[in-house]
Amino acid sequence: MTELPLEGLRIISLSQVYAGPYAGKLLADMGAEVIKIESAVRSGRGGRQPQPGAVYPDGQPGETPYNRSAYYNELNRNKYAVGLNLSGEQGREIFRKLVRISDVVLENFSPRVMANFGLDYPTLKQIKPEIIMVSISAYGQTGPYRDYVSFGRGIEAMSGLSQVTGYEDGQPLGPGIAYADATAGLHAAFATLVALRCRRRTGKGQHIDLSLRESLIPLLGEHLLDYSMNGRSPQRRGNRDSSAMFQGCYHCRGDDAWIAIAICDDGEWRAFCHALDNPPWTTEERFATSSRRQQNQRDLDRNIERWTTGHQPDQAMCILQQAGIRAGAVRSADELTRDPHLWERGFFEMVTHPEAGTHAHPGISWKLSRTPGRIRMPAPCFAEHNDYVFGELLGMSKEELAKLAEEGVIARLPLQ
Amino acid sequence: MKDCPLSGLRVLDLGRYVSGPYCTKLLADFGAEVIKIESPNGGDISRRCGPFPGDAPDPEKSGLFLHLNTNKKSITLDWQSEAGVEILQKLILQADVLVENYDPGVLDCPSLHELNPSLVLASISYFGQDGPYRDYKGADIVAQALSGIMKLTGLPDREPLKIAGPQAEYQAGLNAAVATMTALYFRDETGLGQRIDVSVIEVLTSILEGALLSYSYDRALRKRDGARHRMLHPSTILPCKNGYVHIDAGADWETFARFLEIPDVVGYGPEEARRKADEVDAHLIPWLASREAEEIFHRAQEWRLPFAMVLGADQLPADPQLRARAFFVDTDHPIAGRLAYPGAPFKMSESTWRAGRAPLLGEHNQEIYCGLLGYTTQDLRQLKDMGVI
Repeated sequence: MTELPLEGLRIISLSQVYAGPYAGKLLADMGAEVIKIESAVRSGRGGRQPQPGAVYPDGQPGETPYNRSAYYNELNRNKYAVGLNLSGEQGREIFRKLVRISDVVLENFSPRVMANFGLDYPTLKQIKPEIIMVSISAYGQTGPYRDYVSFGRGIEAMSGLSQVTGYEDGQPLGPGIAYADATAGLHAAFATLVALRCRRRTGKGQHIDLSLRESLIPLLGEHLLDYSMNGRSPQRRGNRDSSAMFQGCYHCRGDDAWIAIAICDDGEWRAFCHALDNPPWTTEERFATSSRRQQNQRDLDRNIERWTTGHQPDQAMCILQQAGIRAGAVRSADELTRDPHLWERGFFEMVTHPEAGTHAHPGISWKLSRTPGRIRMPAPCFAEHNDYVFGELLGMSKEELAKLAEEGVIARLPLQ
Repeated sequence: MKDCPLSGLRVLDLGRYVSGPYCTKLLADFGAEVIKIESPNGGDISRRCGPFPGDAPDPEKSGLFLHLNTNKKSITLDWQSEAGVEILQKLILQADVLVENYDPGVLDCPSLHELNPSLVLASISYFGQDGPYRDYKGADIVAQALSGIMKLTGLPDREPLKIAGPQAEYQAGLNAAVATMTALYFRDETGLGQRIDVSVIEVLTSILEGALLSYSYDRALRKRDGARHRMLHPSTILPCKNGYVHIDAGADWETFARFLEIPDVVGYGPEEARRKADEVDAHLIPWLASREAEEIFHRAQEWRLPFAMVLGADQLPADPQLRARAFFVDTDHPIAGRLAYPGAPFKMSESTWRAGRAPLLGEHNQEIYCGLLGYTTQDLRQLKDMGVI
């Protein structure tokens, strides 16, 4: 078996929904032992009732919808899960024992919650000085908005991203995916590894205060410098964007079928015209130079679309790419799961989940030549690893576990 | 005393434009020594991308370049020339990490690892280092299309939309930084370096928020729906008196309905609101139109409702929360002057993030070539005459 790069690293994750779990996913994929602590009341994966809008295998929530949600199962593969109630002292004592044998605590509660549990960084540091605690929140652990609530979508609005993501003639829309959460999760994984490297040298742990908003704004840095330089704020430009390229998204043959095309310079323009068999409009003076193409972009769009509508997206992509043109079919989830390039590269992995069946999962986000990693286990069922974590790792006896389960300290099932 | 967490790490940056440079910016800002290798013929292409002060192009004043290259050292080197390869090899012998985003095959990787077996080599490309599309040409919009993001962004009756800015490139750089730190963790344990293959498209396909497994589970395809959320309504953007707000019922419809005090809205439950989103919006629009964004935002937060304001870049520097946390940093640059830059993406209690500026083209030639590699000033002049540096 290949080694995994983060083998031997233990992470306790108190995080729900997307940002924290995404950070945990990246680290778990690379071999860290990520243990999710879930409560019977608010597990973050829904209770015994199906969640509105959640996706279940064949549309069936079944008896255990909390083990069968696509959203949860995609994000939490390679992780362990225990049911533990942190609202009472007994549960917190178990948590403290776990901290003693772990390297990292990852949480994305509102800033007050860990302190209310008596489990904030100063406390954890006393238990284990070299612990690294990563706190992910919407606005940060300090400041006037520290207790303000937000999901990723609100943060995209507060960061300047929604303002510029939309059609030129329409209102702000924002990304169609949880972009701020993913970005925060990636930065949190990076922060964890930076703190670990620091600990290797100094022996010291530390607390990381990661705000969704502050981790998203650097991805809009050039907009902020534009403001600092010129006192202006970029406007919505649809698919045109602010780049120097001529680019757009064009309708193809088929229902909701599209292709994105970008033309960088005159050489690419000539190759593009050639790939289209040089129709008469390509020689028109108003499209002759890069700046003229920008000026007459709408007319150019119409002409390009006349060509693309005669082809299916993959056909058009193939013709254009063979001529060296930057073009890509607009893929949907079903097309992605058939994408020959992604399969050839081993991006998808077939994973069997005991309660959700066998499915193709998006695999490891990048390839490490020596330690590639893979999906070693499916997302955990609720409380699946109570025996391993409480019994094996913490050395608690079966009797003890049974008693704690009876007292509601350890959970085996979601309550409602 | 606080120190920089990545001090002692030496990184060679053969990245251009956004993806490679964002990766190495993260490393540099947390203390790594990043040597940016730029073409003697004009340097990184981002020096030619704007924004520029007064829209007047100047390779030392590009906002994109200034933002992405803070705390780096710049040397000029034509590393594809015969004399250049030799210099690059000398640098690789002294480096921990090399980050590059050339087309696959341009850099001869096996030979680099023969030279320095503990090197972590991070390669970023649009389609990855192998597979049938390996040599396809990419662009940010092409990656957003092929990854599935565009199909989910924009209005249902219009063309799919990209997320604004070079976000595909940024995501690739961010992923490369996580992968690089992972490979360094392994190297610190074992002494072994390795090659990282980051595909811009794959890192985007990895953040579709469950859309892929959802399709595999029940064959249902999620549709793009403008600013609206697929599971609950309202979680959307609507106009108000002085701009736009993100309004959000969150998981608590009752609090939301009580907060609004619009009789027509109270009657809807979350299920019905989701089905009749247009109707709900029609009730909300007049209420919002008579109120300003700040008022709506702060009042909703008093009720613990996850509302937000749709802010532009011009509104961020004065934002009270960002100011209280000293997020923006004013940094001097010898040619571009004093500008406000975005600050640290996260705060570390025991370590320092560095504010710093981007280098001038070739600013550190003397320091690196003479100081680190032992060339004489005369050698430098000769290499310059040959067009190597």
